[in-house]
Amino acid sequence: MWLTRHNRNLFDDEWLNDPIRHGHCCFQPRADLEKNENDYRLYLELPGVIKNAVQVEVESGWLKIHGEKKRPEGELEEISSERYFGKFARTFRLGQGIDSDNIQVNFENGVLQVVLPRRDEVRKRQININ
Amino acid sequence: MFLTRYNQRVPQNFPWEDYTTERTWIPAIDIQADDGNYIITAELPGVERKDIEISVEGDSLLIKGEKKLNRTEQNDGFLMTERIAGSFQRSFHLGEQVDRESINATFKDGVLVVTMRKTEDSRRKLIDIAS
Repeated sequence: MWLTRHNRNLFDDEWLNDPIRHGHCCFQPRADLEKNENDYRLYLELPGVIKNAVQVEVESGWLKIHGEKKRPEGELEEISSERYFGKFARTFRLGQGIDSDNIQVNFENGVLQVVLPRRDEVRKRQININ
Repeated sequence: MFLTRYNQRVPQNFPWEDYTTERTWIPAIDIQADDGNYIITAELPGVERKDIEISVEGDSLLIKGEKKLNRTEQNDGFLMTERIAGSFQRSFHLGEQVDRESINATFKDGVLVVTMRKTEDSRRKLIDIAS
């Protein structure tokens, strides 16, 4: 079940934050969102997740990042357990200001970085004074 | 093996600083064992190898370091900041069960794995039933 996470837009921006919560299906990795002159950069913490287990999708103005963090194989005695395993997902609404055809994804050191270029026309929009 | 769950912070200027607003990062850690080893697995996403230090001090294994996120004030900055940066430290009491010379570590995909051999005395032994 998807629930509305925020009742208002967190940011007065072309980009809206994560308005969807994925209920009980998944855990939500911590994320940072950085706004630069030419792009937005989304960083997601996914330590121990392998590249092939992550999917990044854009559909109808939504960016969805989901996958599965699998427990390493092998039978070990558990002494103490704090790490989360299982499915994860986060979904973000993409505003008009994002060039969704040119999104790039890197995965390094357990951090997924999604680079979302800003559209020129939005970035440089000026309003004339009549 | 005893796990120190929360790091003790010594207040520098107590009580004037408001500690409730400070976010401290405590990396998630699993401790496991097989027949011959103890295995500590720490999640350190975005931490660089050079910023991690593992040491044995007396009876303790210390894992410490710093997570740098390069959050500069440039441009419009951050719209969302859920990740926690800063220094971290976890310590573990080793006791007599761990062979100090055997400790080794690997770091891959933001996960630190520290493997330590059990001493002969602490390994599980099967006792034959004599009669």
